[in-house]
Amino acid sequence: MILVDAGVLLASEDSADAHHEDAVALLGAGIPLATIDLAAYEVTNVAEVRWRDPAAGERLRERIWLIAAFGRLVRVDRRLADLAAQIARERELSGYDAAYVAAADALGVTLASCDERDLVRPGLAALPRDCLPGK
Amino acid sequence: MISLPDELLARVDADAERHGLTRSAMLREYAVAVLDERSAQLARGMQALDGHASDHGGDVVGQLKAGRPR
Repeated sequence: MILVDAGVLLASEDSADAHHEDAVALLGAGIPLATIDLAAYEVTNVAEVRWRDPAAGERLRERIWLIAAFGRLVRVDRRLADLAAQIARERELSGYDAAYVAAADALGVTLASCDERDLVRPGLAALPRDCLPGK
Repeated sequence: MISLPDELLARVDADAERHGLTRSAMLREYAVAVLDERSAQLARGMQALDGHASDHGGDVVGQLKAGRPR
């Protein structure tokens, strides 16, 4: 199972993003996928508020409901929030990034992210292309 | 430890015998088959949403972080 952050989902809708093709391939690869409830709000904020593309927002939310139906949608609880807070303090991450790291850690799975600076280079996540089958 | 009704266990055992497997191996096969089908359904659903992407500037991480209150 791979836990995808909001950036991977968003990259599937931005054809100009360097990770677009890899994100599309990862989401459709037939790998068990997970994400967290925060992703629903984050993709909505970017697609609807920043891009002003409601159709993209609808497709992105549909991707999250597919993960909820056939993979795993992790919802916040006290244990996860406490773990995210600890990771944010120790790794000097935003609470948002720490939430994805904490959820992947709690499930014991790899976090896929397009955030090279804050998550991939520090070893907290892998790029979508490195999560594809056979990698 | 999982608990199953006797009638269901009898059906599992009959299926296991047909396949030359133990009860545990048969139950593992069922689990793998169901979970693989769920992943296939997820993939089909995701692929059905492909093909509509457009150019939004190419910096999803920047867009994401810009929308997060500090």
